Amino acid sequence: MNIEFESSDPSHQHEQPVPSKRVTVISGGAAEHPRQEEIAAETISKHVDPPQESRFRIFVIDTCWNSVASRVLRENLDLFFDLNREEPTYLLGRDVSVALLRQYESLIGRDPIIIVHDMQVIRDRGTDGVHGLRLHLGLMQTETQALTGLQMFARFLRTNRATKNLEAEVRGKLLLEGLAGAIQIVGGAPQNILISA
Amino acid sequence: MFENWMDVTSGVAMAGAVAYTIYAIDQRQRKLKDMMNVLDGQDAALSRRLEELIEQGLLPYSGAATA
Repeated sequence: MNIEFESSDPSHQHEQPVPSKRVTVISGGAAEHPRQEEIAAETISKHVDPPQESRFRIFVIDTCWNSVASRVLRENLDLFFDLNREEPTYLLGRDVSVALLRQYESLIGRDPIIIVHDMQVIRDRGTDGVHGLRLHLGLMQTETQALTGLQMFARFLRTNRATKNLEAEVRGKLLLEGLAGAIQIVGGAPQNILISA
Repeated sequence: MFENWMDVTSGVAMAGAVAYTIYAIDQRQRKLKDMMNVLDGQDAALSRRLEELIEQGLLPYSGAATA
């Protein structure tokens, strides 16, 4: 598979120019009959210069469904990135996102997806084990859920930038949420806002 | 005899309540993990694909491109 990017976004004219590149995607199908798609991705130039050895890389996959989650993400994207500006963040354009989800069909309908790569782990051990975390924002069906999920994720990233064992932190967070859910079930309290969809 | 029936009925009801609670907690855990979880070996191919995109020229987001 080969993807090149063609960039042309006038919204970044005030910033340093980025050279345009041609984009070609070849994906799926048998090797002798490759499927080729032309993809144009918007120019993405640097807002801040992330450190060369950032702990995380953040990817946002959004095929732009007409959904509450997609709208909430777009409306709060800049704040989310500002809160985590030390980490390079890659916003995949609609066409690149569609090309990716055509390859990974099980993710269709779960986007917008925020994927965080723990580069410390990937540099040391590759991607075979636990190497980051992800948020399927598209599974959240109300505006409140989506916003709460995005805020929780931003807070989690911010507070765990320096943690040595991200996996333990994520699993601990999930355990706590699960216990809170259990208490709510037993006590008959209102359901957890994130999982009451 | 009646007391035995009461005991059996209350025992079954208790067991049902416990089973439902365990089921409901499990459902919530699954739903939560479906929304947010770690990336593991099953996600390796997608992760490598995303890293490839950077090698092929994807640049960090600059802000103010959407909304």
